[in-house]
Amino acid sequence: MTAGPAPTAREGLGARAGQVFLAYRAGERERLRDLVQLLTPVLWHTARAQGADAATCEDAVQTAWLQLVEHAERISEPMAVLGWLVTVVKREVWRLSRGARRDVDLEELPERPAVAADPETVSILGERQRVLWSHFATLPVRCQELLRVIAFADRPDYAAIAASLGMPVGSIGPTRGRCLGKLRSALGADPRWVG
Amino acid sequence: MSDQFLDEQDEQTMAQLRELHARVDPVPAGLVERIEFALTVQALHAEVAELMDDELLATRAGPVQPGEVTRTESVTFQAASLSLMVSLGPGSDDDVVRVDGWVTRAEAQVDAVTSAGTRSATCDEHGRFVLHDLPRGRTCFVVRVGGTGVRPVITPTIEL
Repeated sequence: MTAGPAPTAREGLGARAGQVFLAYRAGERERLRDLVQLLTPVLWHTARAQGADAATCEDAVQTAWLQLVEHAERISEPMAVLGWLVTVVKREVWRLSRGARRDVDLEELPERPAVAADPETVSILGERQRVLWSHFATLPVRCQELLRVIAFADRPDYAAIAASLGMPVGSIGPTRGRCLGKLRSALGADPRWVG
Repeated sequence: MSDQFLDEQDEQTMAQLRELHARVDPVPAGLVERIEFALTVQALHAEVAELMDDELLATRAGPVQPGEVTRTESVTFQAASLSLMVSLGPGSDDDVVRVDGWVTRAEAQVDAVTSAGTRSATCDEHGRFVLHDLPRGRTCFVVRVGGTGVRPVITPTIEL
């Protein structure tokens, strides 16, 4: 390992969010804004990685925030607020998508088709981004979901996010894991990427 | 390979995945603001007023154009219990505006909630109030009248 994470990423997105949430609970109500700005990107991609449409995902993310405020005092691990929100967003997307009951068992969810980018979107990508996209799209759906979400967090968050998404511990974590390993192998074998 | 520790190349790949998805499927414009608004409404148990002229609605309007900085705008909000009218005028410099307002209830308390914080004014016996030098940008107004069990009224966010 030759380089550490960027200074802002050292403690991780989850730890920074936990600190802000603690301050909010301690009475600094205006910090909720900071928390929303900090975590909405990772929550948006958590929602979209489930394959639901944009309107459903917006509703799910918004509902998760409203639930956080409603339950703020009862959350037993405030430093784990990122994982709490990721879990709620995922559950809300499935609940809204199915119009089903609230307590959907995430372990029983079927595999669903990955989100496909439309040709117009792909056309705005640079050459390397297109190569990356093509290999990313061939990964198992669960790996696509995991890598997409953790890409919007920091390395210290990977294991907690994997757990929040209901992923097996081995799929990511302190080590490269199955999903990132697969992507790395595919990219490494592609002359358009290596060359 | 899969049990190797993350190295610099992995870090780069993750950064590239982030850029890729931020480009292909960005967070919708205005989503953060819509969430903040919903949280404010929830926190206040507020009634949401209707914007009678949606020209200034921040979720639809873009940033204020340079030519518009001295233009005076008026906008009216309607709720079940009261109405609020605000007029925008020039402030002491280009970054701020003066807000002259009128509420159909006397002695209401009006808060202007901006990204830079909250500014308050109390209406006179005719329902009039003035807020000097409010920062330009996204603002919503919260109107409270006296009495127990009266819900505050919150306006949609507008672009000052």
